[in-house]
Amino acid sequence: MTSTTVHTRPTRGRVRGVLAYANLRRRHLGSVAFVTNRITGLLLVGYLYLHLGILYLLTEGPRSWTTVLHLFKNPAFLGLESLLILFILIHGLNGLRLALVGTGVGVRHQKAWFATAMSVSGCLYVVVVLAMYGVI
Amino acid sequence: MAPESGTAVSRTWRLRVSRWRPGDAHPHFDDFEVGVGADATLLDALRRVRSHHDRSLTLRYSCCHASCGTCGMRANGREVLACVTRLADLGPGPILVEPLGNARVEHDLVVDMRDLYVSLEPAGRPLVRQDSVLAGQDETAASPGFFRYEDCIECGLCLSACPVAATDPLYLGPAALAAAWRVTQEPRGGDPEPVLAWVDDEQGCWRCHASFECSEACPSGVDPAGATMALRRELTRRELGRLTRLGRRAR
Repeated sequence: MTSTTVHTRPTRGRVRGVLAYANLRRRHLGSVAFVTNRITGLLLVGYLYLHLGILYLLTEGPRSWTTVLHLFKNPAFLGLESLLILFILIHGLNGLRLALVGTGVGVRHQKAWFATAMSVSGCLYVVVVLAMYGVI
Repeated sequence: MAPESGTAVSRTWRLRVSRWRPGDAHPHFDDFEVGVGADATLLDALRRVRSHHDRSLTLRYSCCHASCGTCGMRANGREVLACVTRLADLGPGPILVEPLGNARVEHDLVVDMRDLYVSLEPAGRPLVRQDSVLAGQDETAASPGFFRYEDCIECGLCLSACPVAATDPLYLGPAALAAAWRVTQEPRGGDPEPVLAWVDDEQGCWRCHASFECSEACPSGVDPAGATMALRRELTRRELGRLTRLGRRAR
């Protein structure tokens, strides 16, 4: 027998809670869906505040607003914007799955629901990106 | 030495076992190399550790055939019953062996199960007598979930796997909710209304975030997540019915 590494036993508290909340080690598809919805939700909340911050620039006069509009046309910014649409699609469609499953509809097929939601999100995202960059 | 169980073919497995005893500042891992049969279970290996390497290793087990639910633990991060988990299914190793999560550790791999048992009490859990099943009644026709929910062995694996139980110690947990649904489906002369009122709470069935880890972990196929969603469906149906009746009266 060899005594090896020391690890810290998790205690009930915020640190343990947050770590357990996002820990996907050896977890299943349901947990992936669960964490995906939380992460995209937090990102969308972050974007909301960013959006409000940008709108605030309207109060600073036409010059600052023109600068912002110029930034929006940058291809890199378009890429970030397309990610925003991806997060909205994932969060929205996974949210729909949760609403259905959470009220007892198609509970046994929750994995298939998630796979469908992610597939539809992916397809729509490709279409959106192609449209944003003027390919279609 | 001859292997303790399984076939005559012995193989050496490396186990990394979480150790903690009251008074220790922190838990730590001890590594053991154990020779057991190629088709041996995790429980076989841990018993081998106790008998040949370290008699102070504390673990709990009883029936050795997945009926008592006492040997629940985590192997490589997943909840298992050690008595029916083959070492060969856990990969080449080292196999990480830890106590169940979301419960207070009492000693090494043994956790305090009282929280789980206390959480099950309000459901009532009426006993199902064998004679009523043998009397020729078509119980399954009246209640499709009848046999399924009877399968709960109260091992606590679902509670350990639940991410919400990890963040909220007040959450009733999947085992209690599955028991509640079982009672609702099969009240056995009891009144299911108090049970439904009990789970219709922010710490009850509405607290579940639908990660379905409880159903994945359950060794008996009880499907606690399905039971939780069924409780929600039932409560939603009742609330919609109440609102409809109120609307009719208002008209």
